[in-house]
Amino acid sequence: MRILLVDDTKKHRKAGSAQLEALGHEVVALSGYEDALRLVEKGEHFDAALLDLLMPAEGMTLGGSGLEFLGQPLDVGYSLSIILACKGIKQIAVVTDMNHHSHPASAIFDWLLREEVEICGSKVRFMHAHLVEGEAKDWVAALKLLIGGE
Amino acid sequence: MKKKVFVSIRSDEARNLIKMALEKVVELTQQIVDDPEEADLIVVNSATDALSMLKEYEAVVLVAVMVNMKHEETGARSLQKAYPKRVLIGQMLEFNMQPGDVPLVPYIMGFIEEQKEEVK
Repeated sequence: MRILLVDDTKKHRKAGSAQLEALGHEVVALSGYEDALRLVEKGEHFDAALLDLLMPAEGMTLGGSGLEFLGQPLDVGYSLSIILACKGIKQIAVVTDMNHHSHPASAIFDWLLREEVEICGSKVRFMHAHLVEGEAKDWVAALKLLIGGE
Repeated sequence: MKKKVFVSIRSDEARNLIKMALEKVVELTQQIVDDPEEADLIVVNSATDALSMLKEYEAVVLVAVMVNMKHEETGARSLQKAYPKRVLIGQMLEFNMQPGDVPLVPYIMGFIEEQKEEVK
């Protein structure tokens, strides 16, 4: 599969590339949502997307006085999953390593955990990450859950 | 001990004198590196570039605030809240300094840290 992985934390990106490429997948790992949007706008095709939930607010979407929010954590995983679904990525998982005590966005996330949502004909799931060595996300487990379901 | 410093200054001008001067200061007082992966300190003048550096590398990022760059300073202050131990704001003009800011050139030269060591 060709997989788009978006996570602002470097250790999660590195782990994702290593874990998934070891299984023969092609992985494009990006640190921010703006790069992800640019890629799909250009027409790049992906079979699946694995997304972080909270990511730092980026420059393009802020502009002018909006820069006062640059770098602040946004629960952009939700909106990114919708946009990527409507751009044709058929299977999408939003995977967070935050627990519901640490941020209101991940508290709300718990409400979606058992749900499989269909958006623009694509499957979207929300899940807490299992962690592997080095406290990196287990992206293989996330992909299995996304494809196989539970 | 010399710091490994990566410098990335954006400019519309092919020959930006401030950029050239900063790079020279680094070259003369620290160790300039071409790969930000190796750097202890990354110097940029764009807040959005600073964010990219913060996500990709482990170095402290110094946002050089130059004249007429209020919007970059706004972005840099937001980044400082999000990454409190990793972002410094280096003011070219000392009268613009706020608590926690550093004077740009003396900091790059290592003068500020040396003074702190003497106080200890």
